[in-house]
Amino acid sequence: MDHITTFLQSKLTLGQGAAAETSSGLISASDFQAILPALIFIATGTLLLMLDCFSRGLSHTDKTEKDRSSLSTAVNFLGLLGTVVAGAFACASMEQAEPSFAFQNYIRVDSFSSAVSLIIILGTFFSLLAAIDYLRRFDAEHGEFHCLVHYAAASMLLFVQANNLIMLFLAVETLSMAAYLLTSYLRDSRRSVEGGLKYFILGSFSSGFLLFGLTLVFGATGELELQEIAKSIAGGEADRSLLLAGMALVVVGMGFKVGAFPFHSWLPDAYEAAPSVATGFMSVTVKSAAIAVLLRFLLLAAEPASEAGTASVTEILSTVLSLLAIATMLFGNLVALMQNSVKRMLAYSAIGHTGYLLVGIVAALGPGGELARGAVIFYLLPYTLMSIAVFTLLGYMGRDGKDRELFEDYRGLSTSRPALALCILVVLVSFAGIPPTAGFWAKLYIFRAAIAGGHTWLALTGILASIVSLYFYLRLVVNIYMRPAEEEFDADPDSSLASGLVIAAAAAVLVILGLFPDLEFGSLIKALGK
Amino acid sequence: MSITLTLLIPVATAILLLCIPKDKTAELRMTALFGSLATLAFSLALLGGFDAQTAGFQFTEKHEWVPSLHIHYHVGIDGISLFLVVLSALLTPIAILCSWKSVEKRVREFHIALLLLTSGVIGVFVALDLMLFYVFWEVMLIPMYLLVGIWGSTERIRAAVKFFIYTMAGSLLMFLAILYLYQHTGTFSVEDIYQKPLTGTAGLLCFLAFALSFAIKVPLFPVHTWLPDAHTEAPTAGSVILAGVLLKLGIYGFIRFAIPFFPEAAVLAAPWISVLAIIGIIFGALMCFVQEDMKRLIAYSSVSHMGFVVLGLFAFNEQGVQGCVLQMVNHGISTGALFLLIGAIYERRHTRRILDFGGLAPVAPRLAIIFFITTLSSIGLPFLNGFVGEFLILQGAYSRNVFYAAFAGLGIILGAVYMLTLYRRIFFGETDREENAEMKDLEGRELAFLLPLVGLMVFLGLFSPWFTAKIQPSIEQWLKLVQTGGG
Repeated sequence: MDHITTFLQSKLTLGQGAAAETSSGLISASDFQAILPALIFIATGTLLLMLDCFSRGLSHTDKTEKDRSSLSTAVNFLGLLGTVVAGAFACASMEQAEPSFAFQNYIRVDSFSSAVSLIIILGTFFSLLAAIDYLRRFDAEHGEFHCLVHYAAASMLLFVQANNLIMLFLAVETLSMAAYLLTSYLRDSRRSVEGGLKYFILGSFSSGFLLFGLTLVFGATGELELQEIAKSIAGGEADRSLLLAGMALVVVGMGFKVGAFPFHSWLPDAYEAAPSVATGFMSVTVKSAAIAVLLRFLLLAAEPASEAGTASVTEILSTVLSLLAIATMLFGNLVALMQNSVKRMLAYSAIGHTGYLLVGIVAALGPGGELARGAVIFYLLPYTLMSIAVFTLLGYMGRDGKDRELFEDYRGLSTSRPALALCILVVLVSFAGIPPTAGFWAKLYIFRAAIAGGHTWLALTGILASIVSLYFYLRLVVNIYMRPAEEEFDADPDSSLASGLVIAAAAAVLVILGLFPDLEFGSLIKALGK
Repeated sequence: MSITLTLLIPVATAILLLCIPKDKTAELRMTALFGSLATLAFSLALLGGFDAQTAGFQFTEKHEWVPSLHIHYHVGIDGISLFLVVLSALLTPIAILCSWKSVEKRVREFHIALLLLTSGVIGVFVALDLMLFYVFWEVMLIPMYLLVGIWGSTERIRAAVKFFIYTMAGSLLMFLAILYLYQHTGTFSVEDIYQKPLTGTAGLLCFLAFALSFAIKVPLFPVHTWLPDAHTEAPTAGSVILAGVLLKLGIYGFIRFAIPFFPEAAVLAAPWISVLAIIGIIFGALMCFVQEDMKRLIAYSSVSHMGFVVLGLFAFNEQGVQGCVLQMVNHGISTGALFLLIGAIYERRHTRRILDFGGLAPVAPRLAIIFFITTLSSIGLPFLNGFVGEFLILQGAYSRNVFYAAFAGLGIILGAVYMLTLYRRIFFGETDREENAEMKDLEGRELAFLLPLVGLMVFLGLFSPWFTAKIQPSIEQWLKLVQTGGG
C-alpha cells in the first residue's frame, strides 16, 4: 500500500506530470474557455433560480395573471437562450482537431466530448421547449425546474469532458442529484415523490459501486488521469486482478446509470414517476453522457497490450458486456411487449435501446473498433430525438393534471390531430428502425460494426429483439391510426404550440438524417482513437 | 434520368396532395390519378426505349449516397425487371380508379399511401445497390400496412399487424445477411457481388436468410398464412397491388439477389424449395374448394399460382425461368382483374359470401363476360396470357423432374375446377335473390380500368414472342451466372 500513498501524494499535488504544460499560474482564462458551455448552463440556472425567488416575493403582494405569464415567458426565453449559447460554444469547440486540456488536466476537450455535449445540449433544448406547455398545463411552473435542468446539463457536460477519476465522480454525483430531484419534481403527486425516492436510494447504492470501482482502478494503476491510466495499463504496470475488479465495478455503476439489465430495476418506476418532460430529458441526456463515458473509460484498457495478461482484461470485460447486452436487449423488448401503459412501454424499450448501445460498445472494444465508436455516437442522436418526441407527446396528451398513458388513450389521434399523428408515425417508424428514418441507419451502423468485429451473435440477438420491438411500436400506431376514438379528444391548440414544434422538428430531422445519413464522423472517431 | 423520374413522380404527387385541403376529394382523386398516369407514361417510355438485344442493365444511373459505407444510388433495368416496373405503374391508376367511390374515409391519406407504395415497389425493381434495395423493400411496407389497417374491412387490424410482423421478421434476418455479405465482399453493388458469390456454410446461411424473407413475400408454403388474411381484409386497391405487385417482389428477390448471390446454396436448396412450391400448389388449390368468401378463394388461388412461379424458377433452365417471369406478369394482370371484379361486386352487394350470389349472368352481362375472360385467363386457356407461362413452367419442371411436372399438372386441373365452380356459383343458376336481380352492371369508370386489362390478357396470349424476346437475353445471362457459380 505504500506505493499508493506515494502516488497519491505525487498525483494530487498540482503542477506535476503532464499538467506541467499549464505553467502560467494555477488557473488561466483558457481553462474557463474549455468549460464555457457548462459555465453558461450554471449561470443561466442560477439566474433563473434567482428570478424565481424574486417573483415569489412579488407574488405574495400583488400577483396578477399577467405578471406571472410575462415572468414565465421570461424564464422560458432565458432558459432556451442559455441553451442555444452553450450549444454555439460547444459547436465551436468541435472544430478543433487536437484535444486540449484544462484545469491541470482535469478536463479534456476534444471533438468526441464536444459531439456528445452537443447531443446533450440538443436534448436539453428540446426538453425545455416541451416543458413550456407541460408545466403550464400541470400548473407547475417553478424556477427549480429550469434550474435543475440547467445544472444537470452542466454536470453532464463536465462528465463527458472529465479526464480525471475525481472529476468523473463529482460530475456523475451532481448530475444524479439533479436527476433525483427532477423525478420527484411534481411534489404534490405521490407517485412522483415515491419514484424519486426509489431512484435516489438505488442510485446512491450504484454510486457506491462506481466509487469503489474507480478507487480500485486508481489502486491498480496508481493514476487518476485517464490517459495516464491507459499508459499504465498498456505498459503492463497495472495490477491485473485489481484492475479487473475495478473495471467490473465501474461497469456495474455505469450499467445502473444507463439502465442495463440486471441493474435496470429503478428505471421503469423512475420513468413512470417523473413528469413526462423530465423523463424525456433524463432518458436521453443521462444515457448519452453515461454511454459516452463508459465507452471512453473501457477504451482505456483496450490499448494493444504488451503482455498476454492485460489483453484478457478487455476480453473478460467484453464477454461480460456481451452477456449484459444480450440480456438487456431481450429483457427490455420482451417486457415492453406486455405493458399497457405507453410510458412504461417506452421505459422498457429504453432499456432495449441501451442493449443496442452496449452491442456498439462491445464492438468498440474489439479490433477495428473505430467503426463502432462512430456508430455509438451516431445512435445517440436519433435516439435523443425519438425519445424526446414521444415523451413530449405523452406530456401533450396529459390533461387535468393527469398523464394519459394507456394505449387506449391514443385512439383516433390521427383524426383529431392528423399532422401530429403523422410526425409521431415517423418517430415510431424510426424507433422500430425502418427506413427512410435515422433510426434505421443507427441500427445499421451498430450491427454492421458488430459483424465487422466478429460479434455476429450479438447482431443476431439484436435483430431478433428488433423484431419483437416492432409489435409494441406498432401497437401505438394501431391505436393512433386504426382505432376510432371513444371520446372526442379536447385539443387546445394555443397551449400546445411548443410541444408540436418539438415533435415536428424531431420528425423532420429524423427523416432528413434518414435520407442523408452520412454525417462526418471521421474527426470524432479520430479523437477517440488517440 | 427516366428511372429516377418514374420513382420521383409518385412521391412528388404525394407531396402535392399534402397541400390540397382534405375535404376537396374530387381534386385529390384527380391529382393522384394524373400523377399515377404520368408515372405510367414514364414507365412506358422505358419500355419503348428498351433495347431487346442487350442482356445487361439499361438506363443505369449511379451516384454516391453514403460514401462511408460505399452505398450508391444505383438503378437500372433489364429484361426481367422491365415488365414488372410497367406492371406496377399500370396497376396504380387502376387502383385509384377502382377506389373512386368505395374509399370515402381519409381520401388524402389513402392516395398518399398508394403513391408512396408505388414508388417503393418500383424502387425495389430498379435498385442495383443492395442497401438501396433494402431501403425500398422496407419503405413500401408502411403504406401497405396502413392501407390494410385503415381502409380494410372488419378484421383489418389483425391482418395488417400479421402482414407487417411476418414481412419484417423475414426482412430483418435478411438485413443481417446483407451486412454479413458486405463484410465479406466490401461492396453493396449487386453486379460486383455477382462476381464474388459467397460459398460454404456462410453462403448457405445467408441464402436461407434471404430465401426466408422472399419466401414470406411470395408466399411459399408454409409461411403463406399472412396472405389470405391480408388479401381478404385489404381494400380492393390494396388487394390489387398486393396480388399484382407485392407477391412478385419475393420472386424478383430470388431472381435478382438470393440465387445469383449464393448459387451454390441455391442449387443445393432447389429440390427442397421445389417440393415446398408443389405443396403450395396443391394445398392452395385444395383450400380454394372450401372457401366461402370469394376474396379468400382468390387469395388461396394466389398461393397456388405463386407455387408454379417458384417451381419454374427453381428448375434453373431456360423454359422454366422464362415461364416464371412471364407468369409473374400474367398473374399480376389476371388476379388483379379478379380482385377488381370482386371489389365491384362487393361495392354493389356489400357481401363477399359466395352463397349470397347466383344467376348474375343475365342481370349483369358485361360483368359476367369480363369475369369469364379473366377466369379463363387465370386457369391458362390457350390464346389467353396464362397459357404460355404455365406451359413453359411445366416444360421446365418436366426436364428437371417428371414428378414435379405431374403434380404441377394436377394443380392446373384443380385450378380449372375451382375457378369454374366459382364462376358457376356466382353467375349461373336461378337469380333467386331480390338484391341480385336489382344489381347494376359495370359502369363506364369500371370498364375503363377493366378493359385495358382484358386487352392485355388477349395481347399477351396472342403475341407472347414479342414479350419473351425482350426477356430472353437477360435470362440467358442470368442462367450462365447461376450455372458457373452453382457448379
